[in-house]
Amino acid sequence: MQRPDHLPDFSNPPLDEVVLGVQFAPVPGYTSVHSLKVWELFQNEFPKIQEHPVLEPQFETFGGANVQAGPTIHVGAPPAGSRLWFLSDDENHLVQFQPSRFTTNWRRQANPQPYPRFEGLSEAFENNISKLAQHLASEFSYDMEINQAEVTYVNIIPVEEFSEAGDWFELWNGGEIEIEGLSTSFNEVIRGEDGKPFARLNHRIQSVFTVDGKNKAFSLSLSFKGKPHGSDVSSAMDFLKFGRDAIVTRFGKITTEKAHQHWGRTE
Amino acid sequence: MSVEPYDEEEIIEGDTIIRRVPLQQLVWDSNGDERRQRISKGLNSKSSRPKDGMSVDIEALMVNDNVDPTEYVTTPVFHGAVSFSAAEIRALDLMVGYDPIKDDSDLPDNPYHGEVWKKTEAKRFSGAQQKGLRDAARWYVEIEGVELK
Amino acid sequence: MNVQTQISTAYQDEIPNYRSEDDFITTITTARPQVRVMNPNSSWFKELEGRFNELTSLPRGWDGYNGIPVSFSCALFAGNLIERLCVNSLPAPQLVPMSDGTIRLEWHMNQFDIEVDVLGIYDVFACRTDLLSDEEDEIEVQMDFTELSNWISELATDRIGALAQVGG
Repeated sequence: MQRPDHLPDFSNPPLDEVVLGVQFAPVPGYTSVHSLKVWELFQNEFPKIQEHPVLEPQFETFGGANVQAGPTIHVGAPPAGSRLWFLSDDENHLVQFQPSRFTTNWRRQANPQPYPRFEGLSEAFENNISKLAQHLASEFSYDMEINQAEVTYVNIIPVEEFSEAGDWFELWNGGEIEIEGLSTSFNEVIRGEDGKPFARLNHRIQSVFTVDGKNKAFSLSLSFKGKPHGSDVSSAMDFLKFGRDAIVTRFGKITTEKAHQHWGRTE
Repeated sequence: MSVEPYDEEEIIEGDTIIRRVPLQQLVWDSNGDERRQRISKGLNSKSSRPKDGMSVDIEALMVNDNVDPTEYVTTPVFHGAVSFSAAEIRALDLMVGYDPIKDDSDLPDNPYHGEVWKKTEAKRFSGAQQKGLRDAARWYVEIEGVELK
Repeated sequence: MNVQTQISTAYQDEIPNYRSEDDFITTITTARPQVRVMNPNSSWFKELEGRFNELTSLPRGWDGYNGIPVSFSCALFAGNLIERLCVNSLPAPQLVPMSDGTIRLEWHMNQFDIEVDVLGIYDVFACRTDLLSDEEDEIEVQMDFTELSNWISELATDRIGALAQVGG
């Protein structure tokens, strides 16, 4: 897969994390004893393992008098079971699995491992999700029904002061205001060729600190979530590619020319 | 469901087909002059699994076994039931057949259980079929103060 | 005699590893609510919390046959729908469980019957009957509830008054 030519490209983007994920109908009959066999599918590449709480189902809906504020309702007692993280040795890459979700993350770490680009990540994701789908089909007679997909890019932009927001974001013109902290988030509804909504592009800008509190940065997160046109892996991959396009194009538009020069924008 | 959908020849047109009415499927209707309680049209729905149907009890099988149908369909506590004739069901382009419940670890056996099926696989009965069943229904065990429709 | 044992499976089949409420692993038990509302926005959902609890805990065979409790995913999606559609001046929908674990939302007022079948995530079928004109509309909804929202809004309109003014 080649990177589309029309997308803005940067030699040194502030990219800190990329997430590709799908949600699917829960696997019937799956229990935690089956997790070892799932790990064995990925163990060679992801030898480290961690356990985390499961994530509740998410879905994007539209219309109605009330704006969707996020998953505010949870029906049923908190689910048992784990969300398993399988990590690579260098911990740049991880795969997350629970019986209703599969996600892959690339995270910038202290090591100099380069960002493998979306093309590399998505190819690996497709291979892994296909491997998982085959495993679930043979072990549980389960045909994976994907009902939600997500691609997220998280950028960390170091700054001296938060008042610099206007230097980095076209959205912000704070003038001479001394900004102590900034937090803003908004959604754009994405429509298909038929005019019907099928996804959201969530924008989130937050002022953040390093753990020691000494250094400041902005976190710019762009997240594309929604329902692929079909429930199979191929439809999910089409959705993720479309989402990546939307995110990278939007990133180019909401950040400033000055920022682009800093990040080495190539034409 | 353990049986493939089919239409049972032994069930003749005049046979009574019973559908239990759980209290969970009663609704309040504020249309009309007074607020009243009635049966939800949802009672006349099939399972959304394409090959599954709508559960019923076959009166003739109970009678053959010397079982009192009125007592059977309200034991231990099922408050009411409606009935249709097999002819009325078939007039809606539906099928009715035997589907006994047996050896289910979670449910008691019900040898008189039957199923009403669509002739083709679908998630729902059509609106017309649901309405038709509602219009054909009569009380078999009436719930006091509740209207049929 | 037709004996039903009280077995509650709720939505456990959908989320494996969940212990059923009948499982006495410990003698120390605490009441666990079935519905956890983190940031409740709508009056409708607050009103319906108890009903959701009830429907997701129905015992197997609750309908006299092989009925199962309302599934976790249907309840969650129905809850999402309710949050989006809520109009404070209107009564909350009535929730009706279906034998297969799906759920139906119903309104019967203002000379309308609205019935919304939530068959699963992104799988909703809605029907509206106008009792004044005898017209019936049916829509399938996956993600966009706009038309359904319009139906709900019309529940609040003064139809009888308007009809009287026109001389109907």
